[in-house]
Amino acid sequence: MIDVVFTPASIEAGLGILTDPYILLAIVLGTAIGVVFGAIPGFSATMTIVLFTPVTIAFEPTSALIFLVSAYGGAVYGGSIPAILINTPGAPGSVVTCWDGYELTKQGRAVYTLAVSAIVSGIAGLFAAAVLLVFAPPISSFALNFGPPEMFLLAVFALTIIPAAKGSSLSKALLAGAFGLLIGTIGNDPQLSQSRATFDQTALLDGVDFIVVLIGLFVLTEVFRLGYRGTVVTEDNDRTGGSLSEVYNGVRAVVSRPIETIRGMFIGAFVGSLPGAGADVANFVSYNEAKRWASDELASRFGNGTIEGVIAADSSNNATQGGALIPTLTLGIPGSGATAALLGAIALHGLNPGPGLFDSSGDIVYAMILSLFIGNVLILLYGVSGSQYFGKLAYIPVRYIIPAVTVLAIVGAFAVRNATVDLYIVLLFGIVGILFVAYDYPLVSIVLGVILGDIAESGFVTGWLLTGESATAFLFNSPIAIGLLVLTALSLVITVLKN
Amino acid sequence: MTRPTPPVVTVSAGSRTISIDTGELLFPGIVLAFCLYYYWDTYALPDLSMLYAGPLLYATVGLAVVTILGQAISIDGDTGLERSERPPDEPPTESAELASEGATPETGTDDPAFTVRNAALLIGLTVVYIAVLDVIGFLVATIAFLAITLYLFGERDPTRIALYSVGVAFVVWIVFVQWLRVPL
Repeated sequence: MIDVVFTPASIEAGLGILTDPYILLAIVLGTAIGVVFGAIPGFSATMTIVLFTPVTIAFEPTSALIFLVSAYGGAVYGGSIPAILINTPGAPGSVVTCWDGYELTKQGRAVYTLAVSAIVSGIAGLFAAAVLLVFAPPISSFALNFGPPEMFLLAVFALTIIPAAKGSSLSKALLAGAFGLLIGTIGNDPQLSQSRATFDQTALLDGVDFIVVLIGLFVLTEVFRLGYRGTVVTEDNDRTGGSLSEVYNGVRAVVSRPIETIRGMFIGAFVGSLPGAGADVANFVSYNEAKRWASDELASRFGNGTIEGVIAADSSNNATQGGALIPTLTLGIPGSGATAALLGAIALHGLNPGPGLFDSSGDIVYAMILSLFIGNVLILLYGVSGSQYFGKLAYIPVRYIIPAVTVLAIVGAFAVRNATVDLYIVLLFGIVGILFVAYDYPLVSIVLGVILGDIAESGFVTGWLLTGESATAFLFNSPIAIGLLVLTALSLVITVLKN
Repeated sequence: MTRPTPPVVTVSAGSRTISIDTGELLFPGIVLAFCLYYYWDTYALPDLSMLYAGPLLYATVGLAVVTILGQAISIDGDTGLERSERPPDEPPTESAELASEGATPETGTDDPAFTVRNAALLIGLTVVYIAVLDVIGFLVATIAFLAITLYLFGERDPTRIALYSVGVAFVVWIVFVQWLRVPL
């Protein structure tokens, strides 16, 4: 079965795609745009992908998806720039980078720290791309054994693992996930084409587009919150100046600390591959491990401006990208907001996300994976040569960001399918997102629910009818189904114990 | 920086006191209202159409009720069945989630332009912007929205406001209307 998806021919086809100059341009532009937007305070990788997805509608699928996956990598790295310069992480995975990165900036070592961040980010991204290339095909082949009941149970498992991974309240996470699944059923039912909860809107007969939901939850919510949070940035704080010799010192710092980089990469790739756990979790784990393995003298300096802390944070941060793409591309289960946005883009461009993706669009998927290698080399180059210039973006006053991003979110939501009702849906989810953040509901649960709605419904209905409408036959259909049931039970038990 | 905290309603019932955190009722309340509409809209559909959605609807209602009981209601100072984060009279936290889903953590600012009032006004302006898009056209509505929002958040230089609103609106118009052919 592995031969079906993991053949030299499919890799060759992917490599062939990458020789197209337009594709290379998409990688160069995507990575640069990712770094630029990631470096703006308040802009995460998720927001970057979500906002640019409607813009890619005019692209053909391969270049659109490669552009977005490149922007993803760039934005993850870019998030470290404001973390280092102004103590404001551009993305959740850069929270830990602040701890030592900003301390080093205060000591006048901003360029040095930015260079180290760029180098370890690029190297970690390359490692994670290799992990993705090695592990994704066999997992994808295995996933082809999933029938309808298994797909339904996989969706249920994905929803139950979120509170276990994030430590959220079980009832809140499950309510958010169930609500998302219910939103996913709006529109014509797949069996008899009877309309369900469409509010008499013709556009909703095709359901609620989850790109619109993502724009509401991840972009509008964040913009509304910026409206009362603001940021602490002033131009007086600009510390991006510095000697180029500091870049050379940064290179030497990374070369002389290979263990720290390698440890962070492994932690990032592993944690990233777990659904529900992303760069935010990997960051903390890697930092704690680096501190635990350090000598007493070095450990005491963590948090006061030690470069080992930056290496631990940023190596794990960027390695999560490749790891997170494993469940996304092989099972159609995104583990984070950014990969959910990518999955949405995959569906928007006419590909079928899920276990059959490698089989049906192997050349495009391999081109996406292989583009990560080029993208991460670019991150390294962009970062080393120009992080102090990208750093200027960290000082853009937030009052200029709020109006423009609001307009982009509204227009982007409309552009998905030119439906007026989507303008109200994006606004509604922007407001619902505020409640989610204020009352500690996991956003990724509702997003997963909406995304997995189709898979869950078709899996349940087809499986139920195929297994003779018997709960026993449905739930215990195969060893895989039983395994998924056990995993679901385990994640529920872990969450209850954590709570 | 401060934001309104929905009140905690305390009800005495005999020797017991029941506290209801109205903030925690908001999302489950929205879900229950949607479920009610969903039920009203679909109760006459054939069984096959609701084979999956029917049980899901009841499960969602059940989870909303459990969440209300566990998170919003406490009796005699008990913090609820599942409440672990905070007692009902404390404001909600924004800890883990904002740092995990694409948001930046709270950094705080002394800038008087960033207040709950202005954030609420931003939402209101967005509602108006969406409502008038069709009526007055994309360019006029967008330029006006950008200018008013920028003013709201502290920009007072008329030249900057004009350049910014016209510039951003024009770029968005070029990309979406002229290039992507979005019928705005």
